[in-house]
Order: sequence, then structure tokens, then C-alpha cells
Amino acid sequence: MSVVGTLEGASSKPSAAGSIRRRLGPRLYGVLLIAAILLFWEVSSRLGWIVSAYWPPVTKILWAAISQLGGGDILVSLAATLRRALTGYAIGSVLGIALGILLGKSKVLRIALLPLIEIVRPIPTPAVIPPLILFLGVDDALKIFAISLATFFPVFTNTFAGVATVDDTLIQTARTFRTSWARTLLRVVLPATLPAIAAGLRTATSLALVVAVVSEMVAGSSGIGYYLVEMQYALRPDLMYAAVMYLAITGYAVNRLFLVLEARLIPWMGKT
Amino acid sequence: MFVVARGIVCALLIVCSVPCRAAEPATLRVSVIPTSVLAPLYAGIKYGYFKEEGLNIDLAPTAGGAIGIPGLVGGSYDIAFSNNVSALSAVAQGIDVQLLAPFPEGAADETAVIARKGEGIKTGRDLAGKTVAVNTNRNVIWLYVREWIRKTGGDPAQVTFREVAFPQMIDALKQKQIDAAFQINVFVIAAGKDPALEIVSFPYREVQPKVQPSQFLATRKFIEGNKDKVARFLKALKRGNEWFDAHIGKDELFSLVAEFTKLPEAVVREMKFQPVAKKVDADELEKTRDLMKREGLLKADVDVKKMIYAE
Amino acid sequence: MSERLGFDHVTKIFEAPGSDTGFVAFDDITLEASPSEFLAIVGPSGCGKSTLLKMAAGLMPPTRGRVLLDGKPVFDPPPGVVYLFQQYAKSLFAWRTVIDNVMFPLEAAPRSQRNELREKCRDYLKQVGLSGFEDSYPWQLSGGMQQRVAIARALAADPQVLLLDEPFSAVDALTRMELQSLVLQLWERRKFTAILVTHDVEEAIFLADRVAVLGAKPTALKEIIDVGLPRPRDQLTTREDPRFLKLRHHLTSLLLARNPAHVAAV
Repeated sequence: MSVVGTLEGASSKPSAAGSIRRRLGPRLYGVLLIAAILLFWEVSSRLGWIVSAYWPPVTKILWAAISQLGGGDILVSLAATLRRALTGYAIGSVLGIALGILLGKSKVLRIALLPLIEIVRPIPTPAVIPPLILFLGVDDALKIFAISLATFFPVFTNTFAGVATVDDTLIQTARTFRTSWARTLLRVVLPATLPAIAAGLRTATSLALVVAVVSEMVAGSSGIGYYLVEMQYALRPDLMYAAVMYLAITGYAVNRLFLVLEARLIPWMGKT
Repeated sequence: MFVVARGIVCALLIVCSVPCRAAEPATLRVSVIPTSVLAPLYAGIKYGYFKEEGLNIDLAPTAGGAIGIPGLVGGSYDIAFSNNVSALSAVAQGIDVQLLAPFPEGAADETAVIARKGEGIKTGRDLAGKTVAVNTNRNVIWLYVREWIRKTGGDPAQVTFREVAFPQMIDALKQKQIDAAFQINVFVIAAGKDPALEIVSFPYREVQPKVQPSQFLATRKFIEGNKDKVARFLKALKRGNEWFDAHIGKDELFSLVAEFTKLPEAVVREMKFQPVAKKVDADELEKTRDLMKREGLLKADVDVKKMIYAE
Repeated sequence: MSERLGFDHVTKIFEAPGSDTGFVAFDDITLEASPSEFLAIVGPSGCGKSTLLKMAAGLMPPTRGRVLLDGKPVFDPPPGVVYLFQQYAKSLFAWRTVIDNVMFPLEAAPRSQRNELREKCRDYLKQVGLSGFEDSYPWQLSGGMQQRVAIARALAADPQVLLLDEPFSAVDALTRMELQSLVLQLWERRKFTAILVTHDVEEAIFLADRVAVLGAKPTALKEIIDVGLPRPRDQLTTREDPRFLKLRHHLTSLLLARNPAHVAAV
């Protein structure tokens, strides 16, 4: 702050513009870039640089988005998507953490389960949705399974790798205090792995959201994914983009929330 | 992707019998897609015809028809909206589905090949070396556009087919990623208004004017276990059909369609509505089957008559 | 309360890939710390002093021979034997506050005793001079303070034998002296058996009753020296004692592998 003061030279009171610049700081450029892109979008649509029924002006999208705030289909759809994403995310995360730690610590389990996991891992989740319909139907079971699967891998991989990097001294410390195996896992390995787990969990949030939407597009009766397709067929690109916008805001908010929680709950992250 | 998926689904079906989800009494779960031809069903719901038969219709809208049959087999749906090609493939692969009821006629007048104006694409012959968009490879749209190309002097082997979702076809066309597209009613209307585009042809008219692309279907297993419910469904649907036929060109129908498709009513008013077909037509289905055989879409022969449900 | 800890003909061979014989870390070491004795083990870097201590803690089995705690062979970490690691930062639980780190060894105790034990832990922290830092996290403290937390945690485990694995090598010289005095003070008060492994000859003399000198590879016991300096010891006066200097000379030349007798005679 003092540096800015010096740069402003003789003026003892910083100008209003200066104070805004300081508050926004380096974010200013990011905000400006987004504003410029949106402006280009608006102009390109209004002046007919891009002619397509699926390229409405931004203001029209914003208007559609605002008009939905009073309780439109988008919010209802978003709630349905979030409910699925959250359920699948919870299941996938718990399994990913549990298996990541168990496999990280048990050679027997590693030999038994790792090949299977490695084979399933590269399969893109959307590709398994159609054949899974036979077993899981087209409803929530299918979607939540797909979301869990998509969530599982980053969480598992990060946890598994995190367990491997837990320092041996920490484990030996627990051993010298005659701590049981289960207690060592729960009280030492798990918290020591938490920063790695958190990284996996954060990656998984966006994946869970994406797979929720994709699964709704393939086999949806509700949710944002279904809404997007429905609006395309209903020739309402403004509502479609408005839904995309709500989705983007949700994704951004979830990520921010995650970072805040991370700082709160894992203050030792990056400190060991 | 879905063709492969269907193959897997069918293979699995033969190996293991899948338990059907027990439907609640008097409730039928019907898969639907947002298309205007479903108007009779929606009319039946709106005017209480199903309720009067003691049926509760649980609509399961999906974005595309591709999951109709897998969903039916998996027990997610009791009755599905599906197209003739998917139904024939399913039967050929050992899935015992029955066509329950037909839809409004007039598919031939609504589904068109569109292209950029002024590039001289008029027939299949003009498409040699060009790219044509279809919604799904090796399915109904693909099958008929190939036959249309053949009938109008072209060779489908010289045409590249690309999968593009219906709503994206017009943009793809204008950006010259494709040269023509086989498109459904809503977008045919939009293309007709676009100064850069033109309607080339209505392929069904030239290939098979009375084609019945869509039907309601159910598995034989379900039908046999729920004879009474199916009969009541068909009875109520018939009343829906009658309502539909009686309201063609009337405001009630336009607003009904606008309601469930979420389309602007102005667009709906431009659609062409024709009466519901009297029955699932075996002859038309045989024509479709023969086309499929020729394109190698059927691995086994199908007795079309046995596919059609008779009360 | 203290116990006798001894190495009985202990040999440790590490399997080396591509070698049939393996790498011999120690050969036939016999050494014993009496109850309440402060024993130091010095040796050149890389002679495997830490391995010896890890075997004593039951963290690693010897290849041949036995580790005996009050005459009973040690297999797993026995109760009452506490290990103080050189890498204190890696030994502390970063996600626990200072007080919760100290509480760790006591958490198997019934819930009803928790409050009482917590008070005890506060007292241990007071004993190591960390009152007021109970609710800090280890990574918020300096290196010397972190090792103090580790020491307080060791006290909480009520050690009969305290194993010190170069515990002061990673801190600055002044802090090292402070920590040495602290350990000495606590040892005098609690009278546990202490075994210190170090490469710092002065540290060994300053702290220990006896100093065992290990030779180079394969490591074997070279000599055991009685320190015999009076207690309580003091960082200034003890280190200036001529006997201290003489011992330092002797041990250093042993480690440098010169002829100690000759030099001592000069």
C-alpha cells in the first residue's frame, strides 16, 4: 500500500479511482477481460457479425437470467442437478478417501483392487452411461452412480498418492506411542493426507457438476442438463445460455466456498 | 455410441434376465421426447382421459429417443416413444418389443433436407463429395437420407455423413462445416425463413410417403403381465387421438403443443398437423425393414407382423 | 522409574539389491544402559547410529542378537520407551495444536480422565518453557520450540527409557545448548534411562555418564568411556573443566582415527 502512496507522489489523499484500483488489485485485469469478451459478444450479435438463432445478445441472456430469479424453471432445474451432484459427490468422495487410504496402506488390497481401478479409470464417464441404463435405469440411480464414479477417481488418486508421501517419521512416532493400526490410519495417516485429499476433492467438485449435467443430457427428465437440451429444441437459446450462466456461477461459487473451507479446516495445508 | 451401447445392452439381456421394476398399480411410466407428434398423449393427460381409465401417466421426458428401448428393457419405462429403426434393430437383436400405437401422419411433409442457398444442391447426385449431417448414424434419419440420395441419382458411398444434433445443424450449415442436413420440423421452419438457406427436398415423400417413423412400444413381457392396463392406456390414447384430429388448426391444439414443447406459439402455428394414423402399418414397416437390410442394419430377419401388438 | 536397556550381540544386515551378502550396518554390538543412566553413543556420520536406536525402540528387528528391556527381548515398541526424532518437524502432527500434540500419547485413556490429563500436559509444556503456546500450531513455532513440543510429548508418555536420535542437530548452536540443559534438567528430575545418539562429541560428554564410541564400517564398538564429570552440569563451567577438554580430545581423536594414547600423552 505504501508503495502505491509513493507512486502517487505529492497527493496526500489517494484518488477515488486509485482506491478502487487498489481494492480490486490484480483482479481488475481479469474483470476487464471478461467485460471485454461480453461486450464483444453483445456487439457481434447486435450488429450481425455472427448470425445465428443460437447467438443471442448478452443483454437478452441477462434479462432471461434475471427473469428466472422470481422462481423459474432454471432454479428448479439447478436444484435438481445440485442435489444429484451432491449425493454422487458424497458417495464418490467417501469411497475414494476410504479406498485411497486402505490401498495406500495395505499391500494385499493394493494387489487385489488396483488393477481393476486402473482399468476402469480411463473410461470416460459419459461412455458408460448408455450401457448402465440396463442395470440402473434412467433415473437417479444411474446419474448418481455416474457422478460417484467421476468423483471417485480424482479423490482416490490424490488420496492414494497422498498416503504414499506421508512421512515415515510420522508413522514411526505413532508406533512408538503404541498406537493401534486403525487409530494410526484415522488419527495420523488421514489428517496427514488431508491436504492431498482436499486437492482431489476440489478437482472432483467441477467433475461432479459436469457429469451431473451430461448424464441429464443423455437420460434426463429434470435438471440443468435436460433443461439445456429442452431449450435448444424449444428455440430458446437465451434461456439455454442463462442456464449455462447459472451453472458457471454455481461452479465458481462452489470453488470459492471450497477454498474458504480449505483455509478454515486445513490450516496446515502446505505447512508440512 | 448408442448403437454400440445398444449392442452391449442386448448382449447382456440375453445372458441375464433383468428384474423389471415393479410399477405401482395404475401408474404407467412413459418416456417422451419434446416433439409435437406427442400431442395426442398430452391431450389425453390434459383432458383427463387417462384418469377416467384409472391410469396415472408418469411422463419421463428425455432429450433424445436413444435411451427409450434400453430404458424399457431396464425397467425404467413401461411404455416408450421410439422410432421404427430402433424398434426393428431391437427385435432383430432379440429384444421382444411390441409396437402399441401409431402417431399422427405427415412425417413426410415435415422432415426435410436443407442446404445453403445458391449452391445448387437439388438432388442426391449434387451431394457427391459433400458432407451431410444426420442426428445419429445408422438410425432412421441416416437410413432415409441415404435412400433419398440413391433415388435421386446419387451414391451414398460418395457422401460423408456427420453426426450433428438437430439444434446445431443450421449453425453448422452456415459455417460450412456441413453442406446439407436432414432436419426435423421446428428447424425446417426456421431454415425456410433464413435467407441464407433453402429447403432442398422432403426425402420421405420420395422414398416412402406413408412412412411411420415413430410408435409407442413396450416389451411383450410387460404387455402380457399388464394386459388390462395396456388396454386402458390404448383406450384413453384413442380418445386423445380423436381430440387431436378434431382440433387440427385450432387454437387449443396450438397452445397445447406450445405448452409441452415450450416452443413459441408462433412457431407452433406454422407446423403442419395431420390426423393420427389408424394403425401401425405392417407394409410401411416392412419397407423400412427392407431398407435396413440393404444397409446392413439388421443382423437377423424380422417378422414385422409379429412386432405389432394386436389387442 | 527407569529400566535397563541392552543390546545383546546385535548384528544388522540390510539387504542390498544385487548383493548376496547385503550391507552390514553393525557387527556384534553388545552394550547396555543401566537404569537411570545417561548413555551417549557417538560415531562418524553414516555409521548407522540411528538404526541402533530404532532397534532399541522396537521399530526395526535386528538381524542377529537381541535387544533386551529389563532382560526381556524387544519386538514391537514396548511401553515406556519413547523416541525423540531428529526431524522434530516431521514427528509433530501439523494438524494438532501444541497441547493436542502433547496429549497424543494419552488419548487411549478413558474420557473421564481427559481433563486431568490435559492439565498434566499443560504442566509438561510449562516444564519445557512453552506456557502460553498451547493453542498454537507447531508450524507457527521456531525449530527449537518445536523440539520442545516433542520433548513435552515424550514426557507425557511417561518414559522409562528415552531414546534421543540426534535431537539437537537441526537447531542453531545457542538453541542447542538450551535444549541440552533442558533435557538434562528433566532427566535429573525424572530419572529415566536415556540413550543419546550424536556425532557431536561435546554434546555427548556434556550430557552423558558414559560415552560409547562406534567405529567406521562395518560398525563395531570401539570403546566405552566413563565421563565422571560432576553433576549438576553447567553449559559454561562444565565445558571449561579440564577433564571435559581432555575427554573431548580423546574422543575426537578416536573418531578421527588417530592414535589417542599418543596424543593424550603429550
